[in-house]
Amino acid sequence: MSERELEKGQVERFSVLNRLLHVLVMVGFLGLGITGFSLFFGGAWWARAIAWCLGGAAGLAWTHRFLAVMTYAAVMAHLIWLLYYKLVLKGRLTGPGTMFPGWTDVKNVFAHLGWALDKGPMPRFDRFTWWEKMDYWAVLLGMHTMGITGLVLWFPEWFTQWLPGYFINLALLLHLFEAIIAVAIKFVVHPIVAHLRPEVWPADTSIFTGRMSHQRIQQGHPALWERIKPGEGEAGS
Amino acid sequence: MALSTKHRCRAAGIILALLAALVLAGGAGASVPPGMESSWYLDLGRYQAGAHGKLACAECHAKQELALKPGSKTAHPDTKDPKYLMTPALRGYDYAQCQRCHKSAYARYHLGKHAEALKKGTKTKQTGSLSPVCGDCHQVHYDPARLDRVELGRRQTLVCGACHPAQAATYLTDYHGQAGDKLGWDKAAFCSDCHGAHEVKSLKSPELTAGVCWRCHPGSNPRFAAYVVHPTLVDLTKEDAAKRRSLYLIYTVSAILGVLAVCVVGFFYGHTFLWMLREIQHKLRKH
Amino acid sequence: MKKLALIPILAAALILAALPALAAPVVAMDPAPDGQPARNCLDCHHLPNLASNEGVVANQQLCLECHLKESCSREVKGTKVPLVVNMDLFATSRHRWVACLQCHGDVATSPHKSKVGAQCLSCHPIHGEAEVHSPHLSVDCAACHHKSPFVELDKKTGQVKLAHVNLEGKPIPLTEHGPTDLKQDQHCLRCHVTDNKVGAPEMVLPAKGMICFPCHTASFSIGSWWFGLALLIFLIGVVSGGLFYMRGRVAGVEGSLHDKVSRGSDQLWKAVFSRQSWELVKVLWFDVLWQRRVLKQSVRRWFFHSLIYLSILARMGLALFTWLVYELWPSSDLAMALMNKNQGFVAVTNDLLGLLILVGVVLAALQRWVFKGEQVVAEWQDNLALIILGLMIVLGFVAEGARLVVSQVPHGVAVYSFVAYPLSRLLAATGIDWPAVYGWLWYAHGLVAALFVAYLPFGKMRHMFTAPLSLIINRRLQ
Repeated sequence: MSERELEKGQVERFSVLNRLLHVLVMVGFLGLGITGFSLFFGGAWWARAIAWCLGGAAGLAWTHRFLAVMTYAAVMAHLIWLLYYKLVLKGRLTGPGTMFPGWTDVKNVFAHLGWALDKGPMPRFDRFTWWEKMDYWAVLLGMHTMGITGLVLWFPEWFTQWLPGYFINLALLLHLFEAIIAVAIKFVVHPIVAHLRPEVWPADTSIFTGRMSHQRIQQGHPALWERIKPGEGEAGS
Repeated sequence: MALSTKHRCRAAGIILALLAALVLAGGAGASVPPGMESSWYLDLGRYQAGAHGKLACAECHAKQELALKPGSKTAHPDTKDPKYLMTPALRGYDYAQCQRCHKSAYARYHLGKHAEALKKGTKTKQTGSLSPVCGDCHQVHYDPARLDRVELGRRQTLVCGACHPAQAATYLTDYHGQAGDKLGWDKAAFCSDCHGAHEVKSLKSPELTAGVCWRCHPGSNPRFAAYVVHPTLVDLTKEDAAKRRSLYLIYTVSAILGVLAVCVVGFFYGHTFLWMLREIQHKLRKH
Repeated sequence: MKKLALIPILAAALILAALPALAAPVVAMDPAPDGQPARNCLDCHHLPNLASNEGVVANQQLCLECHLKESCSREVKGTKVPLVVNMDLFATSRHRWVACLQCHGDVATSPHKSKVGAQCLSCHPIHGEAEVHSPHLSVDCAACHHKSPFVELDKKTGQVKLAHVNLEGKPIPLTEHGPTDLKQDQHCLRCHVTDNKVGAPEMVLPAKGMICFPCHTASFSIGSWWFGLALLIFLIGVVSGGLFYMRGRVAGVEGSLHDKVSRGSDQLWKAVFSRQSWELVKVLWFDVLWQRRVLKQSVRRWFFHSLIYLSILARMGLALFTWLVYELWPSSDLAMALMNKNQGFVAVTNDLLGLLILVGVVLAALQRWVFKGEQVVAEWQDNLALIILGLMIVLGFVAEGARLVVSQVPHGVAVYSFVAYPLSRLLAATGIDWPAVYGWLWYAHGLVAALFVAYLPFGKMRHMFTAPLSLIINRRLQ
């Protein structure tokens, strides 16, 4: 994934497809979390309020499934894009500029923790930091478990043609606990880390605009900067 | 090191119970639904608004009314009765009189599990109560008529849940109960939709259950019917080995998932907190 | 036949003395079975709560007490017609959990006779265009879904319903409660045959596909295979047109297609999520929707163009609105009214808009071939587009007229289709066997429409995609 200069001092960090998919997954996931927990905690006042807005339990369930299809389609579109990127554009899916996790990331986790405890310097991140990779892989893999268990719950009659009945219970448990983990982290940790911490406050707009400034790269992704910084002559300010 | 299955299940059970408690939050906990106490005093307003509100007392309590007539040989209350003033009215009443208007319901009650248990005198394991007679489930003086499906269904969760609290609690954490009882979706299944009205069935065999599921799930088969709607060990007998095995698996998986969830969320929350502190400190030091 | 017996309900009378109306002896259908307590009035005359499972069982017991007996029948023209419910069929149907009165709402009356038949629509929504064509709105559910293959047209209501007699005119039983096996039984052929009496075309026509949306309510499905083919050619045309467009410089970028797409989409993204998006909305509103630029050039051209373009847009708007209303509230009166092509508002609107398109096409053709204005260059592609469009509308009106003839729509209703109705009178006067021809007319209209859609991205009419696009891009570059 090449780092193109879109405007002066602005490097393309996310392609239009990735921006679009992120918006779809963001909207879909927020909606899925809200409708899903409204279904599970149907007795709560807020859940009833949301259910009322969407036309009762049936509307809630319909919305949940609609958003699920949309979100899963976004994940699938991304996988197709990866195939296209690898096979047609002959791009690299592994290596320092990619989402592929490496040994450096494991070292960075500990180095970063060490920095937080004032036991060492901040690790020099490349294009994607370890938490960004974690966020990415959590969604990419997690959506499949959510999708498959969701399908079992959506079409239990079909799945029990060849699965025992208690698999529906297990699918529900997996769906529930993964939803709890995902919502607890993606609704809280992800916005804090990506937007609210002092280093990036008030927001890191790169996922929406697709652009990241040289300054931000120097600050947050020095290893990337080492690789892509313009020659001395054209460095500008 | 290795926990016994029993302990693991208990741990899982506790987690599930906590979850259930969170969800229920003051739901079907009461052992006697409000108004089911048999008071001497009739709330006339509610009585007249109820299903039987147009009936005169003597139509159901002819014996008592006769006892009050001049020259009656019996008395009400009957001081000669050795159990004078100590007979519980709710169970002492002659419910055969109900069949004057509710013939088919009365007849089918006698075909069901409740009547069978009443004959044997068995008590429920959960609350120690005897098998119910009409008045135990129906608040005869006050129950309103013409309730809609959801109102009826919500009543069933309370009334059935009074003697079967574990089943009511698990129903409410199941999708049927969440959509039906809690969100008021009239197409969801309530107690009597599966277990039948009056002729209550325990639905322990998947073959029998599959026919019941088929009402809403046309593709249902015995394997589908082995889905555990009431994931509770309560009331299981030796014959329910298959359900017991399913439950152990369900409890084990939920325990593992619960621990995983706590660990993962705990780690990330702690880590983020630490990270934020460090960055704030960093910012402050700069200025 | 009916065993009438006097039952003095002594026990009940004793207890119910307080209710004078019930104290007198009553006549019951049957005495209570042996060993059961005697009956009283409210055993039958108490309406149970049908929302409860007990109420459903009680209601079924009441009805089935007679309708399971071999003797339950009535005499029609000297023939004994059984009124027995076949429990082998009923008990294996999911309707066994439904009270009799929930479907047969008006039978518990005196005399014991249903005027409206089974009320399927109180639980089931009507079919959408994905399954059947809207003229089936005047066909009772039971005409297709009941096992009995005999149907008739009720002249009074215009409804096609189950016949109470077979082909020989002999009364037949209809109370078995067996559903049609929609996969195996050839239920369409009950009506769609030569010389049918119910006003059905002889052909079974395919459902409309999504390419019909510009003018008709349809479903977002492919429909018939040749609709799918037209859609495929259309999509190929759009993609190849897009690729052709991409051969030039995109957003100032030369190079691979991938680079152009990514740079172009980035520019678009940037424009949409900026203050410029308001500019885009303005372009869409004034220049695309209301054709401001065409109006600046020539009022006459704008008028001809708008007659065609805005009318198609309006029909598409109504079609999509109908689809939406049906998808959201399939049982609502609004959905039923909008789906019904004979409904006054729908008929007038569709005919008016169709007429406006036709007028626009004729005026444009006159300008091209008769008056020949200065600016007009009559290219053969333009002419072909006009011919296809005009033919499609004309065939559409003829097919509509034939439909009014075939389905025997009452004059008072058909008159709302103010173009097709006079046409239908003319067609009826020709004496042609319209039920046989209607299918071919429908296919002709459908094929021209498919041709129209397939031709869109190749012919002159692709300007309906390229014009707005270039307007937006030009505005963006300014």
